[in-house]
Amino acid sequence: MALRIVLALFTLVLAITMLGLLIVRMRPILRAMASARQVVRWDQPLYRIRSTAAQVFGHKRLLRQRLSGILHLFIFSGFVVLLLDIIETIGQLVYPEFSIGPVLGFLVDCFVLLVLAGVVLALYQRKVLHPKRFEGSDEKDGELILGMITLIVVGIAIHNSFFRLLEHPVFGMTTSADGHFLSYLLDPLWVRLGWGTPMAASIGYSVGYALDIGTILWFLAYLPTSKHLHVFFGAPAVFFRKLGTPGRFLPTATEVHSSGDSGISATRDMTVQPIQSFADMTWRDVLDLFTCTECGRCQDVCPAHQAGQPLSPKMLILDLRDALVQQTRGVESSVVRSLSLAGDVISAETLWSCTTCGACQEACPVFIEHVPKIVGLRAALVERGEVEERPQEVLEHWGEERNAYGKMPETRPAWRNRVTYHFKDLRRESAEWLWFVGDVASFDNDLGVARSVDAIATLLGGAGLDVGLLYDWEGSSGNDVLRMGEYGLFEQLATENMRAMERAQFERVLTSDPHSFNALRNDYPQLGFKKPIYHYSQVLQQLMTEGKVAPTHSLGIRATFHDPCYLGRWNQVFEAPRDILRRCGVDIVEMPRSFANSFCCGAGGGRMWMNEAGMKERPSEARIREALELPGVTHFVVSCPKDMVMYSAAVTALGCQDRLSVVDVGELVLESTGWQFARTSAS
Amino acid sequence: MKVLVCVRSDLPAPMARVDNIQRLMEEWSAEWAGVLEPSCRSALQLAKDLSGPSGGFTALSYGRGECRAALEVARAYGAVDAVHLQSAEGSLRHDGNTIARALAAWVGERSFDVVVCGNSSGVGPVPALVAGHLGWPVVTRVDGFKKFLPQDDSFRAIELTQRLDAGWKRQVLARYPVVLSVQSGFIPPQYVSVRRRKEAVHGLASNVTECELPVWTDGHAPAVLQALTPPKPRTKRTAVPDAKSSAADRLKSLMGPAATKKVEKPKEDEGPRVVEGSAVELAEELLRFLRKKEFLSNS
Repeated sequence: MALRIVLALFTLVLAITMLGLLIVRMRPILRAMASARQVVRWDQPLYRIRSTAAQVFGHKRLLRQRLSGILHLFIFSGFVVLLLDIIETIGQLVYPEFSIGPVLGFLVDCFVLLVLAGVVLALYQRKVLHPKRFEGSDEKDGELILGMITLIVVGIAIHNSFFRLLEHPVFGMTTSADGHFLSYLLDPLWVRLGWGTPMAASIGYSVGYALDIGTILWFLAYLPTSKHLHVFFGAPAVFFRKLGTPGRFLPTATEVHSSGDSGISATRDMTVQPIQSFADMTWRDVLDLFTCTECGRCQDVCPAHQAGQPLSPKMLILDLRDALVQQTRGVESSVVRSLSLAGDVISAETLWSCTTCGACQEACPVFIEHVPKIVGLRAALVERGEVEERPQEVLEHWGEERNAYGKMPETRPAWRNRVTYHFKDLRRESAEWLWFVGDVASFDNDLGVARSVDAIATLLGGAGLDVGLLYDWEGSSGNDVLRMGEYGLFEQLATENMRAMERAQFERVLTSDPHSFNALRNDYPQLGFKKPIYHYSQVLQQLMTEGKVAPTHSLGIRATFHDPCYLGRWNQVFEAPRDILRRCGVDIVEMPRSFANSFCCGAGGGRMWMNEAGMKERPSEARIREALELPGVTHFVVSCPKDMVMYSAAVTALGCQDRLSVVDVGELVLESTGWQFARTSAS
Repeated sequence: MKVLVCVRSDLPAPMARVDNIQRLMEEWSAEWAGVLEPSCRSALQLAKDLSGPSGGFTALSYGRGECRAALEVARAYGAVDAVHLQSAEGSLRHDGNTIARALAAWVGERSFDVVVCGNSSGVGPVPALVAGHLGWPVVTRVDGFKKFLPQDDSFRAIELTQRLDAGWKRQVLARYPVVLSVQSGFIPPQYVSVRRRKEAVHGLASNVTECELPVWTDGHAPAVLQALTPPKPRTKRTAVPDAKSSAADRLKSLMGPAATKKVEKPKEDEGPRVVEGSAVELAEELLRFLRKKEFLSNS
């Protein structure tokens, strides 16, 4: 009885202390979330519940990395099952004969072993394998947590085994089978060591109890200062993630509360807000900062980080979190408040390194949204005018000439002179399709880009598709502008394009550039544009299905296909280009990083227009090296003009033109049809 | 420190064609929405840097309606006051001395410490003439300023860096008041976002001060435009890629066929083209091209 009272008092005092500490430590975090800007993420509640269950209990994303996923699954599931042990242990303090039963008892001991196995695997991963993604993470924190977990499960085994020795002499119970099979193994050991006496067993039980319950309470109080806060915030972060097409950057009307600001609509206000301080972040952004598990998966897949640039998505989140923690502590608040997030806490070089490829978000097991934060911080730099010379020049071109190249708008359709097919002039006549050609396809002097545009034009013409162009009414779609943080300019470009498209008569839009495809498909609708948008690979796939474009012979080549970020990851279009290639008789060999895990060419998010200072290896060159590893692959197939520019340069830089040709999907389709390039110049 | 910056508008790049430039110079048409002249952007940046984060500066422009664009950008850069000088007879056009006298007359009635002017060529006469009319020192080709000396009533000055020819730089000490001129690119200007620009446009309507200048009646008429001859079109060839382009672009430019590209607008029938065919056909095409370019005789 005395033992139970002592342990109950110990538990009560410790619980009050630790839970009090937990509340004190959690309050500023929750207060920061409460005072942040509002965003609504309650749509599709049933889907959210289902997918959260799949991610949390099924470890859907975590298991993409096998070892990490399995060891985390062991530890996580062990913790869920060990809740039963807590119930049993606390219950036995009140009523010693309380038991969860032999089956659950057996289960608890099984999971004790699984958790221990998980801890061993985690230590093996950290100490032996030591993956690079852990660089920058607080490894001591991780090791401390692993130590705590070990103490808890060892404590369970200890107090359960000593409980059996105390059942009769101390608690006055008749011995019963409880399913804790580890006790049967440990009891003889304690007896052999001379710890079978009631006094020694009481001490042993108390030690085991303290290790188990005491460490759990300590763990709870420690969590708010640790990366393991994801224990609390992981599931909410998954539940409240952005749904729908990943490429949508502007929020939908349902996502936004009315801001009440003068004259600015709520939707615009949410988007236009540059992140100058934490007050400009949404509660979701704050949640992200404290949910980060420091696993480094984002860092591992980041093309900027791999290129040796200063950006690490993980460190960006951690630096923001540390700054917010400092701010909430008060002592240093005046200093921290005087610093701006963009430029001081996160350097401008770091922010401009991002290609907005979204690989970090795709890899994150707790669905942290890195890209919107980076764009928001970039917007703060843009508003302060802190833009490098070259991108500044390009932004000015976008503002004045409506294209990145600073060319006269009337020269936009100059490429049309190379092909014989007559595209309708949508400024004067109507057509079924509008071909939104985009800046790079229209203006870049890369020969590969010219080849691909010509091939697409020939295929569309040959298939008899009713296609028109906007000619000089077309301006840049603004996809890169928006992701460079210049929302005002994006709005200006989008408004002008939408005005032009409203005046023109057409049914649907096809784009040659996945970046334009993304902006028109995902961002323009938030501003009121409603027309179906297709990437040319989808159109070609349809034309082939209808028999309007029919391959006459198999190409018989071995090729690898590069998924453009803004077609694949951001818009989930993976199959159309592959299907086309297969129909043309192309043997597709996938690169290790393909589909949603594709590796960025390095041109997105405005990076195409920025300097490459400090870059160790261009992402495009790393990608070409990856393709060169594939046996027998002779063609590197792209479906984006920017990819064509970047990879053509990379192949040239690596000097492997004789081993690998960079070709567009359209070129291969054209070749398989046997149609000739319809060029005016040949005449 | 009270800083005044003089800014002026230019044609937007899409309109910078010979016919438009001719019309602009001959008619001084107010129907075009102008853009800030590039050297004036550097001047604005210098004025902003001189004023410091807490200080403000005054922006002044002259001409007709198109100079509003310059004042809008100036406001977006942080100018607290915007002044629009105009002359009833439109004499602020081609005569540098007349412009300088008008500016000096306006400045002389106020107490500015520094007047900053953009100067696209670096040797334009207006800043020096303004300084001459005011009796102030002038420092041209300003590249930056290093530090302020202790400001007291007896000695108020600024240490300036000048960028000279052939890479030389010079530090000079200039006592207030002083006229400074800066060339485009000497002071890297900050970007002005569309949002800031829009806010400036909203604020400009109520904050611009219109000043009508008197007609000069000292007996010497200003220079009057008689004729305008556009430059002869010529082909520029770039032997080396643009130093500001990315490494990938430079590499491509060096290794690819674009090393010597024509900058002039390609005619429709002479644009870049790709010819495909047999070896004989390609050889004939090559010969035809060489003859056309007069590398080979037609015989």
